[in-house]
Amino acid sequence: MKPSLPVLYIFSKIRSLRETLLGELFTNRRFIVGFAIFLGLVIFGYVGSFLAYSDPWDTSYYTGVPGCPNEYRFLPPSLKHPLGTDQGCRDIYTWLVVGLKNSLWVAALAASITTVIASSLGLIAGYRGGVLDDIINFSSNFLMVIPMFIILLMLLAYIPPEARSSLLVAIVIGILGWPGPTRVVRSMVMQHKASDYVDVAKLMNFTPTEIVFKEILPNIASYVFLIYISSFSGAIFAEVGIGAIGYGPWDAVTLGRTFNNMLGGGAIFIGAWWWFIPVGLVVVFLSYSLLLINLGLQHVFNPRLKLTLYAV
Amino acid sequence: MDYVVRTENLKLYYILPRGIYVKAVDGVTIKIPRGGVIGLVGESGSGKTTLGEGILYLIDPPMVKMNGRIFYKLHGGEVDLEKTPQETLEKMRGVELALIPQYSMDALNPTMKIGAFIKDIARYHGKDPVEVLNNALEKFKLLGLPSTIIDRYPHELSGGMRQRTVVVISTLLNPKFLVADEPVSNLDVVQQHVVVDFLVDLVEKGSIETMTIITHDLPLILEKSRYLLIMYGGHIVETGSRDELWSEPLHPYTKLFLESIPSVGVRIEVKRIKGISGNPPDLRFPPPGCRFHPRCPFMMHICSEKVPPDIEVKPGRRVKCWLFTVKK
Amino acid sequence: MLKSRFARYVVSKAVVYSVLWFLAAFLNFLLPRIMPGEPVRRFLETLFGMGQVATGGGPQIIPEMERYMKEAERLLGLDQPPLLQFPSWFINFLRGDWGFSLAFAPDIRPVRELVMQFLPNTLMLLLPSLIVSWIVGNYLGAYLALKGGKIDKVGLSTLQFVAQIPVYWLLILFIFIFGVHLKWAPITGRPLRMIPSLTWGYVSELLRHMALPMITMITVGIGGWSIGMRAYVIYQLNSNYIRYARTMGLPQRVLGRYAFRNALIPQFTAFAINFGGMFAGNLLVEMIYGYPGMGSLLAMVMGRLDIFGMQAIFTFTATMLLLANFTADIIYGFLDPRIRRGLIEVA
Repeated sequence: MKPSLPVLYIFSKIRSLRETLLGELFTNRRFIVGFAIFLGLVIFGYVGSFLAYSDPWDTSYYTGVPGCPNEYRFLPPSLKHPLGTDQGCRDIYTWLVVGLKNSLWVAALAASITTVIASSLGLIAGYRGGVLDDIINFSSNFLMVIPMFIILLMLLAYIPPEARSSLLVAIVIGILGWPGPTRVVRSMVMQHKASDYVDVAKLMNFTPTEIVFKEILPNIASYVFLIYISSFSGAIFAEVGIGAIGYGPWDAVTLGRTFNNMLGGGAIFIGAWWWFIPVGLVVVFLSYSLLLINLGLQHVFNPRLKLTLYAV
Repeated sequence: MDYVVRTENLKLYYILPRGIYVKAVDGVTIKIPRGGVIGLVGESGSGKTTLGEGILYLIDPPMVKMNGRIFYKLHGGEVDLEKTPQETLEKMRGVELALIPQYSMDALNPTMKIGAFIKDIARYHGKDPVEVLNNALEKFKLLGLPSTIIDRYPHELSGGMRQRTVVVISTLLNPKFLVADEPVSNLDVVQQHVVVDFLVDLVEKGSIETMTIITHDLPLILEKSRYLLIMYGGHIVETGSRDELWSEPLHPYTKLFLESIPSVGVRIEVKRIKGISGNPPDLRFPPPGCRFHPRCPFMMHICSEKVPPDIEVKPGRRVKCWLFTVKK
Repeated sequence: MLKSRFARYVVSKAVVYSVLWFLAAFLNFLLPRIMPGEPVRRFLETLFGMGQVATGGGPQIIPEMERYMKEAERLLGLDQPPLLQFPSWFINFLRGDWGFSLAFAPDIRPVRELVMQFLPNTLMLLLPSLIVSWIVGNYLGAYLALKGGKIDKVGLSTLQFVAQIPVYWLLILFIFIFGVHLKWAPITGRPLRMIPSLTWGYVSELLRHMALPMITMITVGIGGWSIGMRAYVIYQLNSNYIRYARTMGLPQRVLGRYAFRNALIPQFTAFAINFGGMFAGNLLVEMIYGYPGMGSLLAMVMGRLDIFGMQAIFTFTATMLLLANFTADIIYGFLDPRIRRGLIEVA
């Protein structure tokens, strides 16, 4: 993607914004904890994938035996298999870390798509108003009544497993996530639009595009970032959710796929808590760390009067 | 002087994000005399609303009491409002201490009918709701509000109606000490007279013992009050009886303030631009020393360095100005 | 024109929702026809295959299957010119003619019958969970908001964490704890008696199977609702009217009552907005647990790429969601006196 002038300008503005807030960010307790956990998980995913062997499907790497003899199924944790094996003699730990890595990618891509769409539509709707605004509002209504999950099912159900790549799923999740964030961006843009410095810019004969990129966008850059984070979190939830019932990406191992495998293998019935507990915890902490980051960022970017009688 | 409320070096600041303090009330020691109409006068942003809420001990975040004490003189003895237990304080509110808030526009619960609110108040003060409601209806009538108002929701009333409603509700329990913060700001001239007369009448009849009106509308308060406190930049710069202040204002600010009123009969709101050059101080970064010194025609060197002390010229008559420490 | 402001509100909402409904139906009609892999053709092929196999491999088609195939063609609108396909399908849908499903092969059952069979189970699971979690969540949130201090901080952090736990994982956890270790609630799809009847046998079986998913959904629900309600209550507690009520001496519990009542309004809106999401969560839980509700039905139908089943169920689901949201909007409009009261009085 060729960075155009407005985009570069935005990035530089974001960087300068960051500079002044960086100190504050890293003294915010929530942010630090969340960031630490998230970073830890990312590292776990990458380093873990690197250390483990790369193919989750390989049944014989550790056992040294081709095929899958019964003794090697459903093994409890051991040195060779930190989390044991599944119903097909595959290493669960590998599935976890590779799944984590892939899920992170899917979520990152989906979140980027959602953020770009939401920002663009929000800017257009907020700044231009008029018919475009109405159309955008109306469509977002639709997507908010019928939840993303159901539409995801509707779309992905008709697609055969072979065609369900991570890329496709990421794109679909990304595209479906725009209503909520768009509303937020829209209301922020409308707020800023009514402020003084925009009127000054208008008086100085800036074109609408210039106003949007130079004046409004830098101010909402911090919120765009917040949107990214929450989209990321939502994407994880969506991917694992549909993956768990088998309609997630089928070409690679993701956390959703791991869940599905777990359910298919009957982890619960066997009582193989070492299987489903770590996987679940990873998802939980992933979401929770993102939430903390989000809250921390909100506190810093949006310092509302902290000492109201009943503190938020 | 028999006083109803007194403060000791009261400092009320607003704490804003990033560690900024708005020093709305910055060391105020006053006595509010008992009985009659008292005026607390000052420009917008002088801190008078904060002081008004402070002496009623309505100190909520982000307002913080940095220092000082507030005493309320009940039957005989003094009560330190800070040390009063919560339940006692609740019982006092509305009956001993009352406020007509500046935010009367949204002082009423949007999902509650006016009548229902009044009944709740009555009940929680152990009074008969119907009796209180009828009392309210009479008062509504006096202020030109229809009796149907008790069945209305606040959003169904205009701003002026809401303000008058709040005036009635705040005075409903015949409070001993009432603070009226800009009680007529949203009303037209005719209604302003009506409401002011209504309030003054209540004082004169004895339903309300002492009423402190907070306003920037000097002519209004000059007419009706017997004692005035002039506030500027978080300080009380002068106090005294209305006649004394009018005939012989001591503080330069008071002098200029009074001079900015046109003399004959026409009541015009005092505007900053007209009377005194310069701007009121930003209470986040108030000027050192006397708050008024940047605009004072009599400024001396010491005025920009040290805060002038409160000088008691006579009992009940005080000035916060270096001019009055010079021995003649 | 309609004088009542409320009536106008209702009508405008009805119009919006009707348009949305058409869109949803159209989308559902369109999807199988444009998705890669030609689901429609494959369905017909499966049908054809079934018809063929029945005769032992010969090229003949048994007359029954021929009937079904004609039926399929008609319902899919393939016998109509392209522009009329959607209207004909839509009209059939409205008439309740939803085609048949191969999900229970060799039984071929009408979709509508299946839906009517599975739907009550879903409702019996969904509605109590929603109601309980909403009510409890509201009180819990308000309690935290009013208490403040340490209790609030600890409570909030806990709830925030709980709210992040994905419902599907919590379900697995609960199944493990309650199902495997404690009393057993079977997972394998269908309870012994699937035909709804008022016999105690059926009802008790159903209740037993409902327990686990319901606990899961209620837990997650309470987490979410309480956090929201707490925020709304805090917002109310910081408003001027509460300040004034305090000024007039009303005690904390009355203030709490005022704040609670006023916080319910945005909370109700949040409920309407989130209803779809909660329904989706319900479906997910059913699918994983195997509870015989719409979720499981959907899973079965999706697994076989059952065109009629999918179209009908998705459209029906969308219809339900739209209806629910519409109802919620109306109720909300009624609750808020600012919308309900017709005209504003001017002094």
